[in-house]
Amino acid sequence: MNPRPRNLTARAASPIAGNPVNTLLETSVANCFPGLEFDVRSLDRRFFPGILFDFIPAPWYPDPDTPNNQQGARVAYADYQLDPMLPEDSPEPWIQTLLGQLAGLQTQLQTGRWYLDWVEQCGKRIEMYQDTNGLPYDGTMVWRLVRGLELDKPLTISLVQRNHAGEREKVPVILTGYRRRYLSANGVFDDAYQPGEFTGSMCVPWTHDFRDCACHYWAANHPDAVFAQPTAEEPGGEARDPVQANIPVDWLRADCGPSGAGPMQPLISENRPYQLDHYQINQVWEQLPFVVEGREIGATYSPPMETIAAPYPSPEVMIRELQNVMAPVELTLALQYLYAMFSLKSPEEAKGSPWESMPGDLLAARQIVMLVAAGEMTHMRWANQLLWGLWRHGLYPKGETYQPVIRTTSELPKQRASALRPLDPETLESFVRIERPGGAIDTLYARCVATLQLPGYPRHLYELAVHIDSDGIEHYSRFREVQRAFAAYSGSGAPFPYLRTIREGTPGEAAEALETYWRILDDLAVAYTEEAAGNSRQAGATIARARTLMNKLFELGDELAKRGIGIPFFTPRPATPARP
Amino acid sequence: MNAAGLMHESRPASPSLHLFRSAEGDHLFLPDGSRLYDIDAATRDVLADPAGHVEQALARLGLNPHAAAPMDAVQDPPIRSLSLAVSQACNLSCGYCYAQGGSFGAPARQMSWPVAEQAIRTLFAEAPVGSRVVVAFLGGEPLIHRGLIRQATTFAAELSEHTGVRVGFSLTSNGTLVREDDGEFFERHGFAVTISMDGTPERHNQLRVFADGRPTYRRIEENIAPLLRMQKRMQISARVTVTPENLNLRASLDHLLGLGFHSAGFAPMLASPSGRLQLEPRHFETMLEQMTGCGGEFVRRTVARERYAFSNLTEALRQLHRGAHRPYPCGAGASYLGVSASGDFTACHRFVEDPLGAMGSLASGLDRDRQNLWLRERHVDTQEPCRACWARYLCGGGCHHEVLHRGRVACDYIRGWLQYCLLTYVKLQREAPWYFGSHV
Repeated sequence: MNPRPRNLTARAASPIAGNPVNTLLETSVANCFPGLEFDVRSLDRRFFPGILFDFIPAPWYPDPDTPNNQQGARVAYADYQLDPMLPEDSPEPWIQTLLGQLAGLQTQLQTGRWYLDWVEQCGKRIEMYQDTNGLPYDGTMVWRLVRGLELDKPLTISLVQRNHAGEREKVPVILTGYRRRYLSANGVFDDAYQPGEFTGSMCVPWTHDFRDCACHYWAANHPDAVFAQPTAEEPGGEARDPVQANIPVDWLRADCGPSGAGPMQPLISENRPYQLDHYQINQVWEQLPFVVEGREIGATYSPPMETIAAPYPSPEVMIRELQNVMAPVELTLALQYLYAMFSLKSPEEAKGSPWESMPGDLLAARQIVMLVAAGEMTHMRWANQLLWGLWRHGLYPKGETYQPVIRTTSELPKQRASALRPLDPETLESFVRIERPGGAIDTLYARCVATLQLPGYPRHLYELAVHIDSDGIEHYSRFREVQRAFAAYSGSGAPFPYLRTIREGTPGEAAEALETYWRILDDLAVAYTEEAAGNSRQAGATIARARTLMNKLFELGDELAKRGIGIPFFTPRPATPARP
Repeated sequence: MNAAGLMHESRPASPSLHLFRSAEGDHLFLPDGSRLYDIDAATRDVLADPAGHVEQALARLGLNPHAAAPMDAVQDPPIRSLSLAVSQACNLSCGYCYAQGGSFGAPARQMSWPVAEQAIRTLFAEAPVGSRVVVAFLGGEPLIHRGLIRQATTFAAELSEHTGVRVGFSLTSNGTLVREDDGEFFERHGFAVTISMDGTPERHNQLRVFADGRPTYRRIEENIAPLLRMQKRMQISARVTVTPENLNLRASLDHLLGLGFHSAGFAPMLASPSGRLQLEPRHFETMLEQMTGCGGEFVRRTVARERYAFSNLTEALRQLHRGAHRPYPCGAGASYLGVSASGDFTACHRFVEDPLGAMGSLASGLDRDRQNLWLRERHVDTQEPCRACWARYLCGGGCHHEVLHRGRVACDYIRGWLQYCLLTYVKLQREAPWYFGSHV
């Protein structure tokens, strides 16, 4: 192509041959609830040859001065001259009779309000009134009755004029003919319909339908419950107030200011009063925010910074990094978090505290920290899974086999030396820092991802690496939630009322717990080796055993902590026991 | 291509287009919309023909020479950014300073809280929910008046929370007064901090001295070290004012990025109040040579996926990729205004106490007539020799303050630099295409 556009403005200014995408059906904004591309009632407006009806619903709030009984199938006008059912030269007697009647009626039907009075077919007559006082059916009901009429059987209808009070005039007009065949044998609409008739009653303007179309009915074409854009952000784009930022709000809320973002309610009717109304959406639909990944974005969307990571020069370098850095870091963090979790009082211990909210906060905090610790354990498994995956694909250095990497490290990237510490504000802040988006842990796997996307590496390992790489962000938000909860109790400084007084115990004091911990590590090593050999079933059994031990460790750890003793997880193991 | 070559190749031939050649082939740049195309040699010959009718030739190629929206003069722009001259005094005495020791040639002054408060209220008053405004703190040396900066920032942040108008903060400082707790404050509010440093310690000390002549480098280095370490949300950049005394830019850039600045860039000293230390035409070739030297290192590092934040080039690449085009060099006198210590509106922070850029005051309101007149008069299409230059919508006609006080002395340099940036853009699209996915 000459000239070939290079930058964005040049590309935008270059016309591209072909239909624009917005002409395709799948890109259209459906003009009613999806699936209804036109209003079927339009067909029955012409059910009887030569006459056009409107199906009128009863007004909800009738003006006292307007005519009474407006609802029903009202005659719009006689439209017979070009009706394909009624050719002037037809030999059919009923057509000639009907044409003659209609010619004489044209003026009459334009005078006053004329309504469908009854229909009669096969000896059955249906009157269009819901009671003996002559209260007419609503237009929708009349439409349903008309839809029940049969083809190819003589049909007689009665039209009657209603006066201002809504009462029927004495003299009806009786016409006989057949119900219209809406579609030809080829599926083409009858020529009586004029262009625009099928869509003429659709939502106009489209914004009204766009407003009403929502997930409670059908798969909607706009978001409903979303997260608002945080008004204040931390580095990495995290909301300063994570709780506020994670309350779903109504995308259609009329007040988009900070005070308007109340939580979305479970019932449609509860949300409705706060939503944009029809008249409002016409004015502001262009200001409805885009939503990316469930969150409203501002005027300009800045995608998260892509980590620039260089691939490792060889599989071996990556393997060493996984062995010496990633896997040990994950276990070390898991233990630090676990230790910190034990330093928190149980909700029972906090009962009777002057802060009524403390037992609840502690319950949540302990669960959160435990969850993150478990997450790090999962990461350790994934790091090992990357290793055994690389091994199974022959990417290990010659002569080397996969060995489980289940050990701690004394060094955490860009942090002071790893240590077991109670969850005081300083420790918590260090956890937040280490899990921070773009921080040391968050970017730990970036080079793995960059390497594994190169050709020659198995695709599933790349996906696994991406998964680990993107999994950490949760940890950051969760620790920030804990920070927020504990902020209320930190004012007085140490000792913090939510903490147990805890010190790192001696190996002797924590002998049983340490033994249990080491047995867990042994079981994991066995399980990973089995996994690497492809024996998932055996691995599963061993993992299950390790899980039971983990539950036991949790109980032991909590008991010790109540007595002020923390498990010295980093105690070197006396001697390596034989692996079963 | 060396500096002389860049200047030669970029000299203005037609106001409607610019043709250049790279290792990738021939290219066409259309000023209107800043559109960049690859073309074949035959097309180049047609377009380069001085006797040819350019617009017809472009039309035959399917190119509308006027694809972008017409660049009419801006009128009654909303205020989106204010710089507050919180302290019209400085503890330094740099020979080239446009503010002449910080006081702009007037008695030294400090901004009072009512002035700052009113300025910020004015800024927020017209901003719609969801939009973003910027409060900039300048001087003089703004940190002389630290208390006001903190008060004003906190106030603006609160207004932001209440109104749903987002706010950003920036501060330009000489770095001699900055403290660690300033860093914590800036970090909390996500400041964009610019520290003026003039390169390596020797050069810097030669140019940037305390009022009593003592060197400042050591003090600045000590002061900013903790800030550089804590920058997460805040970004601390270095800006080098280039004078004939510190033209070794590559050494300066490596030194500053080595200190840990988020980015570093260069601003040529084109008009100093005394005429001292300003660049003369004979310096521009050296300057361009140095800039492209830094650019070469940027390319090398970027291709190797290493960070090397040479802000002049990263910003230029971003603008070229997006096809940025504008009839002004900056937002000065439009959506960006300065507020002097006494509460006068000025076209920008440089026009404090300068009648050329006066635009009313907080008390009497923004003088829209003067502003609109400014925007009509300063429009690049009314400027000479800009009207005939292909680079006019990239350059915008050059800094108003410098042009009004010294004229346009650096056009060859600016075009040469833009030519280099165009070549680098083309080169990086081949060698590091990922760069344009996320960095620009």
